[in-house]
Amino acid sequence: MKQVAIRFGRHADMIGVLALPSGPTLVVKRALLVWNTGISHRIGPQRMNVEIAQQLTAHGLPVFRFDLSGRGDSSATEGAIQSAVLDVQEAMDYLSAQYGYEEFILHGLCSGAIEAHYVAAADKRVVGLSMIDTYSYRVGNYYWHYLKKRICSKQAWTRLFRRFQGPKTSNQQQAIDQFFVPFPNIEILKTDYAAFAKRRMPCLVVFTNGYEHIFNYAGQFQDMLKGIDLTPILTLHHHSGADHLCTIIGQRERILDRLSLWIESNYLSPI
Amino acid sequence: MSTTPLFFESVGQSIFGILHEPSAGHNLREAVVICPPAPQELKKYHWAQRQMANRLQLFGYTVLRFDYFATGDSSGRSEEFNLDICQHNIRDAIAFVKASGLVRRVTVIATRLGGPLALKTLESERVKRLVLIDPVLDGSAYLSRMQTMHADMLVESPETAPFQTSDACHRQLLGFSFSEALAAQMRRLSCAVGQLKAKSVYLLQSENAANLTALQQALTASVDEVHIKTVGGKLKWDDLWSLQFQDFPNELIQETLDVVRFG
Repeated sequence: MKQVAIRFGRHADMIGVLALPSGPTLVVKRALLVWNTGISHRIGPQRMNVEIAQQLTAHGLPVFRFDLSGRGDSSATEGAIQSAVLDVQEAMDYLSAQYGYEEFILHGLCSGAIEAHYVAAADKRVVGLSMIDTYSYRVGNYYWHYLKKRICSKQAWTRLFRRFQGPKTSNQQQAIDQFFVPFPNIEILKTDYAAFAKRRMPCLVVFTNGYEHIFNYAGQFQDMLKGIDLTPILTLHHHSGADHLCTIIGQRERILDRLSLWIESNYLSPI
Repeated sequence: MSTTPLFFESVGQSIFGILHEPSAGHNLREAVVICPPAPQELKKYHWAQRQMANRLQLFGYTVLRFDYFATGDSSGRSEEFNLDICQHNIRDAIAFVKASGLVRRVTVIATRLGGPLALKTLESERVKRLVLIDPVLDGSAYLSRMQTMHADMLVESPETAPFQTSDACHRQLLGFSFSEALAAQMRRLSCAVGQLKAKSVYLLQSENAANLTALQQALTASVDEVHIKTVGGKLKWDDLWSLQFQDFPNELIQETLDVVRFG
C-alpha cells in the first residue's frame, strides 16, 4: 500500500490520506471514502479506518480517509456552510479531477454512518453504502426482545437499581453530548431506500451490541422499512459480540472481514 | 502561512506529519517538534496538539507534528508499534525540520510516553529546549496501569459488549495490539537521564499527575536550566472514559505556548 497526504477542498482547507493499492487496481475507477466518527480524527476509533485501508487496498480498492471541515486536521472555513454532504462531495470532486475516480463507496461508523446515508441520497456517484451502528427505530418486535432480555438479565436489574441511586455521571453525560447525531425521519428513510433499491446500490448495515438499546433483533431493520423490498440490496449483520467502538481486536477483525467480503462480492473485478 | 500534510522517511518507513510553516515576513527561524503520547492516548491529545501547532505557527514558529511508525496515519500495522523505532522517528522528525536550512533552533514538546522517548533521543540530538508534559516516569508502572484499565473495561462494560470472550485479553490493551516484545520494551522504559543535549528542560505537570521533582533533580546534573510547573486542570490519563474525549485543559496548552515563546 502506498499512501499520499492530500490537502483538498474549495478552500484547500481539508486534509486526508489516500491509500493506493500496490498491486492491480480495478477496471472501474472506484474508491472507498471514510471520515470522522463524532469529533475524533480521520484514523477512526482504535485506528480502524487505517486498518480498513490496509485491508481493502490489498484487494485492489483505493481508500481515502479524511477529516470533515472543522474536525481532526481540517479547518472550518469562515463564512462557509458546514455540511458533511458538501465536504464529502468536495472529496469526490477532488478524487475525480486528480485521480479519475468515477464511483464511490462510502463507509461510516455512528455519526459517520448517518452522514454517509445523506451523501448517498444526495449524490448518484455513490455506488455503495456501508454503515456500522447507524440509525434505527424501535419498531416491530423490539420491545418484545427488550423485555425478554431484561427480565432474564442480572446486569439489567443492577443497572435499573443504579439508575434509582443517582443521575448519570458527568463523563457519561459528556459522551452523550459529544456523539449525539439526530436520526433521519423514518419516512425520509423509506423514500431514500426506495431510491437506493431503484439504483441497485448495495448497502451493508452492521449493528454491534453497543446499539442494543435501539437495535436488538436481526429483522428489525427490514421491519423499520416495511413496504420496501430490500432483499436485492441489503446485507445486514448483527455483531452482538462487539462493542460500539469495536475495541476488542478479534471482534474488529470479524467486522472488517464482513466489510471485505461485501466489497469483494459486490465490486471487485481485477484486471 | 502554510499547513502541509506530508510523509517523511524514517528507518525505511513512511511517517505521516503535518508541517506548519509561518508567513515569510514573520518567521522566527525556530522550529517546534511535537512528540505525541502512546496510541491509546492519541485521541485525547490530537486536538490539543493541533491547537498548539496552529498558535505557534501564528507566532512565527515552524511546527512539525507527526505519528510514530504503526500509529495514526503512518505506515505499519498497529501490532508493529515499537519503542526503539519511535526514538528513530523523533530523531528523523528533528532532522526533517532542520533540513529546511531556515531553522536555527529546535524545541521539542513531548507528552506522556513521548517524554522518556524524547529524553533518550536527545542524548544524541542537540536542541534548544525540551518541554515534557506529564511524562511517563516508569514504564513498568505505566504498563500495569494500562493492564488494570483494560481489565476494568472488561468488567465495567459488559452491558454494552459481552467482553468475556477468550480473545478479549490476548495480546491487546485498550483497543490496540500489545505484543510481549512491546511489553518488555515498556518495562525497560524510564526517564533515567544520560548526558542530555538540550540547553533547557521544562517539566509541566497537570493536577494529580505524577510528581516530577525527582526527575527535575536528575536532569539538573546534565542540563543548565530545569524548570518545573504545575498547571491547573486534571488530564485524567488513567480514566478509561476520559481517553475517549478531547478534554485537554486550555491552561496547559497556554502554559506550553508561553514556555516555548518566553522560556
